[in-house]
Amino acid sequence: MRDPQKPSNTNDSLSQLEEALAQTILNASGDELRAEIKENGEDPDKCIELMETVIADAKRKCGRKRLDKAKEQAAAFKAQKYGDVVSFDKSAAKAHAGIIDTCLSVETMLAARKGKQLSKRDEEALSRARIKLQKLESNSHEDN
Amino acid sequence: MDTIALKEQAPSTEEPLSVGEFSAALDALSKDDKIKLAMIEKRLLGGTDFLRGELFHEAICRTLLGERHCPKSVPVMAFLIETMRSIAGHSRSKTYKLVSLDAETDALEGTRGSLLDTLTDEGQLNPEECLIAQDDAESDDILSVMQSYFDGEEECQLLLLGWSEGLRGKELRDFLKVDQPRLDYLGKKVRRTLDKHYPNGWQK
Repeated sequence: MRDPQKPSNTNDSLSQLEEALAQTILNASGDELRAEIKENGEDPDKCIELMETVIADAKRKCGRKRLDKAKEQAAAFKAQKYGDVVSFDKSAAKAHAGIIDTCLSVETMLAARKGKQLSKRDEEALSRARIKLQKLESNSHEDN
Repeated sequence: MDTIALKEQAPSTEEPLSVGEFSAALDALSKDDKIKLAMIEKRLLGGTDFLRGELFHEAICRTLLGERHCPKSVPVMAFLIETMRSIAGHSRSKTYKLVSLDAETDALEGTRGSLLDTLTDEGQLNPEECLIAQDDAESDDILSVMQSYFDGEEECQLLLLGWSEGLRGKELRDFLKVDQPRLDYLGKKVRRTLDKHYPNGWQK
């Protein structure tokens, strides 16, 4: 069997060579490498700065991506858990309460008159309340 | 100084660093580490679409987003280098495939000469094998050219040969018949010479 460390063709040979050169960089001291970078006309501090900028930028971008993903997951979880619950409509509830108030006051007036016939005013108030109720119910059907 | 061996990587089944641990390891990189990473990244750019800093950025992002995992027992430096190397390799093979398709079309149309035509004409190899053979021939050329930079310096030529054959450590010292300090000196010399001729690596 072929030794996995040994190259089988020239492409592998170049990869082996590349790896050996990377290893020499890893084994070299920082001062040596700084001197080499300067010899090549570059600024070692700029190299360090570039790497630091890259690290900071990658962390920021990935942090944002992870947060967006977490938000999506939270929304999906919420939708799954509370999907069949109808949201509470405050204004519709207020309107319903108003209609109930009207009915109650008519009932109270009727009781005050000891169950005698409704006044014209009572009838008008009840009629308005019925129209409002129908309107609310039709709006509610449209929403669903 | 602790040495970081690029080859001694644990199997990928091992428990990886968490995002927080990997992030902390990035913060713990020294200035020397960053210089080393910058120099190695530069060598890997040849034949890819990446600019300086971008390959390193890609390696970090893939790890922070969970596409790559750094095993706990592998030094972060070694992991980052291997990840950059792998990303660069994929980028090159993507480019290579595009070039290969063009080359194959050219060969079929008879517009491209050289080894490819000769071998296909003689019916020795199919077009794909021809492209591989051509690639190997070009790699052979690169190695020969590299050897020529060290004419009259037998130790350097032997070192190039040994490295390209995968020899390391004692095996390499025995092959060259030198001690470790001499090997370190020769290694530095060869790298610096090649850096001048191939500042972004020689990969196509």
